[in-house]
Amino acid sequence: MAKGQPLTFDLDEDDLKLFTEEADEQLELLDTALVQLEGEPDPELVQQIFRAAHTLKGSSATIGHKRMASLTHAMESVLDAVRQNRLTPESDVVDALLVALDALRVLAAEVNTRVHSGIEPGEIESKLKGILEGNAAGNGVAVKVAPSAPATVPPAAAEALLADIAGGKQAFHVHVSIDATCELPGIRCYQVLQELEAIGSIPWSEPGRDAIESGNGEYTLTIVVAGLIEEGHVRAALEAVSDIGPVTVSHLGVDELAAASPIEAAPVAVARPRLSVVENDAAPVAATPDAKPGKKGSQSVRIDVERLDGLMNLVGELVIDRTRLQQIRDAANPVLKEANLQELMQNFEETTSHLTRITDELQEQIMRSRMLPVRSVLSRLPRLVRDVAAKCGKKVDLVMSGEETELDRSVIEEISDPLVHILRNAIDHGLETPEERRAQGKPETGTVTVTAWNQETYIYLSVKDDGKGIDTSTLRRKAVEKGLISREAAEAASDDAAVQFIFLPGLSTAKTLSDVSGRGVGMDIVRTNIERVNGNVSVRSEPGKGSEFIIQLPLTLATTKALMVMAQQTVYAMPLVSVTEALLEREADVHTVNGKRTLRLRGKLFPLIDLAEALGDGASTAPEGERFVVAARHGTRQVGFLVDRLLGEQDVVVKSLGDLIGNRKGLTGATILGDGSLGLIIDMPSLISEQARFAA
Amino acid sequence: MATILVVDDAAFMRMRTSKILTEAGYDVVQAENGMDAVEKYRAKRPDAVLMDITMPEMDGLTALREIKAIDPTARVAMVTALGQQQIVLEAVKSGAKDFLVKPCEGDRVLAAVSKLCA
Amino acid sequence: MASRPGAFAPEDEQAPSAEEHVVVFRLGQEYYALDIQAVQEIVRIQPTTSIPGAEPWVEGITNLRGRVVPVIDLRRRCGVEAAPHTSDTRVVVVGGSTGMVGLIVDAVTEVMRIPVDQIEAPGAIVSVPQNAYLRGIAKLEDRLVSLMDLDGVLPSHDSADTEDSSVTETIARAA
Repeated sequence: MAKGQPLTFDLDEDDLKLFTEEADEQLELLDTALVQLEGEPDPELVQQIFRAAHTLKGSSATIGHKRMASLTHAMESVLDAVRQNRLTPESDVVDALLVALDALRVLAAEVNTRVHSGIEPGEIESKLKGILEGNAAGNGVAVKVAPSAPATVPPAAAEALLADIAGGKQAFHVHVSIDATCELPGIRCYQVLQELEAIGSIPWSEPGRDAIESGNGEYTLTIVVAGLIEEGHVRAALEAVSDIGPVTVSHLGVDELAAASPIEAAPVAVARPRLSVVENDAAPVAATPDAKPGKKGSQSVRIDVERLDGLMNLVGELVIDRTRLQQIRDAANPVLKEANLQELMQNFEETTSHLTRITDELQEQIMRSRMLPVRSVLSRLPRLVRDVAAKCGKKVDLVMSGEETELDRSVIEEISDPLVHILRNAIDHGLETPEERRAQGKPETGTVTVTAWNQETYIYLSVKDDGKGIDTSTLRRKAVEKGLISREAAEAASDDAAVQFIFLPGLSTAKTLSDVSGRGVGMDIVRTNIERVNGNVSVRSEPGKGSEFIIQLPLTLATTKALMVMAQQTVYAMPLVSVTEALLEREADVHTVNGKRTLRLRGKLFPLIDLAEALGDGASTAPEGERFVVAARHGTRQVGFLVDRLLGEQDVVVKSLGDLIGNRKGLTGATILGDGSLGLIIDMPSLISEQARFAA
Repeated sequence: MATILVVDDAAFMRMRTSKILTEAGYDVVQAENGMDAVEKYRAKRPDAVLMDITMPEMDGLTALREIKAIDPTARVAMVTALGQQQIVLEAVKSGAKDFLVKPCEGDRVLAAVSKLCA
Repeated sequence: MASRPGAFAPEDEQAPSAEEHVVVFRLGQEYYALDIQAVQEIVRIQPTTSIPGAEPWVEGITNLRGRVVPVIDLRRRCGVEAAPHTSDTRVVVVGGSTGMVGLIVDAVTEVMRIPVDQIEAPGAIVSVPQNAYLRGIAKLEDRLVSLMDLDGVLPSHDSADTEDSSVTETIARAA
């Protein structure tokens, strides 16, 4: 089979959805976790990674995706060796696994495209195999097949056993390995204990009985069992349990037990650290997260986003009907009153207001159900930082917090690219090389901190580095050189203001093009992308100390807070994120400068524009002096808009104008108003930029 | 051939498991929640039960206990997602013979079932 | 409505039956038809919000039960002289390649099946150099019915300006 060839898999549409969601989840987990694997990994992490690979292997095998199953199998083998401490995950191991992961992602996508991507994992597999074999050979560590368990028993248990044997019982030292593919070894350990207890008594085990009973057993288990039994009974009992690997059963006679003198207790003492861990783990069951009584109560189901969008639309319709109902009620009121139908009127009244409450609640709930933790974006960052740092020869520690912060999934899709770009910039241009840092008395490893948090109806994301900061003198010079700003303005700008020049279109501070931060893609694109979704981005910088970029985004793109205005009989929504203030035209300080209307507000002069005229709908015909001025800001640009009336603030549901009309200049969409008619949502950033440019 | 009761609220998992078992020659009875499972067990007395844990109406653990009350010799394997270790442990303590972790590969399902029926 | 395929399907999929199932409407004195598969619903004229700066044939947008739907003045789009709306005026809501769109027509007259052998290529009857918006003309006993090509009438917004004049010209000559 070759690239481009059609593929078939053993799954239908519903299976496909399930498969894709599950695969995405596991791939995302691998993406985050593999980077942390390097060095001395946390056993829990290794286990998690192993399971993810295992799950992917299982599901790909189920649907008959042979190449994917075979690649995950190879990964699983390497991870199993890591898990059993047969292999130390040095960077070459992690690199090979990351390469495999990238291939895996493409293979998983084939299930959706049903077209051969051209990926043949054979080479990657042999590399993984090579790592496994090379390591075993290089370190001279042979793979342990059967555990060589010393038949030792603590003295206290030995004494009790001697008494049992004197009474005619037999004692066996049993060492059990659980298969590496078993996901819940703790349960298997418990089952072993249960089965052996059914045929005899258990005077000693490692891990201890309490640990096993709370499900904290691991992949190996040593148990001493005594009773009126033969070795065959022990083996038969163990066969009742699934996932049991190699087992050694050795008979404990008087000689062996007598040898368990205080001197022989030494090996047990060596094992002490392990035992103490077990004791910690044997804390009350209720303390483990799985056992929380609330856990069972909060079950979850997966819902198709389209279905949620559908629900959202239905609620939108409900909102409109509700408003109509209120209007009908108002119209019916006098008639009902005249007809002396007070009771009916009151009923009508109550039902309408109840419906209103329920509808609002419903809207809120659906909005909530579309929220996702920002983790799904942040989880990609460790890998990215690792790659970028390696390319630039920088040392970087990534610190993340606020991963639980929730936002609408539509916003999540939009913030990913800007965030990645800012982060790359921070490492590539912000942080110094280890040598430079050392020379300045800074630690060689730079720190980049990514933080997410909520405030009111916005989410904030901050990317902060402890690098060299932004050189404002270079920024000033470049901005003037490229004609983006006048020399006077550049010199007059404070340092804080000059740092914002980084967002000017056509300005790039990098001395050379680097493939890390993208060719020619500047911060202006980042700002444009963020502002397209009614967000804001700002930067702070301190020379020698570092920079911080803060992105502000609405919690959802589905709704936005807006100032509703009327101009030329049309209702417009102006997103509040850009509006600075609103005032009566007659109270505004309006001048004519060079024949253009200019607004003086808080010591600044900026153009005053007729909103309807700017949009191409003719000049306002409302009586002068009764109109209003809405002051708005976009970055460093400010404009005042003249409108006929202010209608108040409102949460508006954003709807697209559709492909036929497309992205009309100055408009981002439409929204349904209370009376069922439509208002237009203003694209503030583009309108402000355009008008400020005209006026300049 | 033995009769197996497959209990799962997710139709996809239920069908898939049933298909695997039917192809291997088992008779399959399906139930879509714990309550349904207890009733079907009472009526059909299957040789073995594959019981999902998280289900509406009555969860797998409760259903297991009810079935064990009807028939202490009932052979039940729990079908679990990861992260339910404590529930599985409870189930084993309540008499479940085995467990399977989702997603269940066909050969593991068959191995578990033949072990249960042994 | 949701279950109906939104895609515009010019070819009848049950080809052997050799009939086109169409909705016939009137624009001025002319009769036009649209494939019934493309028609989502027919509603009375309702309030629209005009879009400043949009093409002149875009009447505006309207709220169709929670959806924002652009509405096209088909008279203007086809270069037919403007006329006031009457009680017969309807909006034919279609699902084209650019999403749902409402078309204002003077009246919807009937739903009918036209045998394919009665349909001729537009050039055969109306000799015009371009027939971007028509895909055929049906000769019925009492009149001619032009089969409209939705994608010709509803250009994507990138190509709107270039196609606009040619379509208007085509119809002006045809009329």
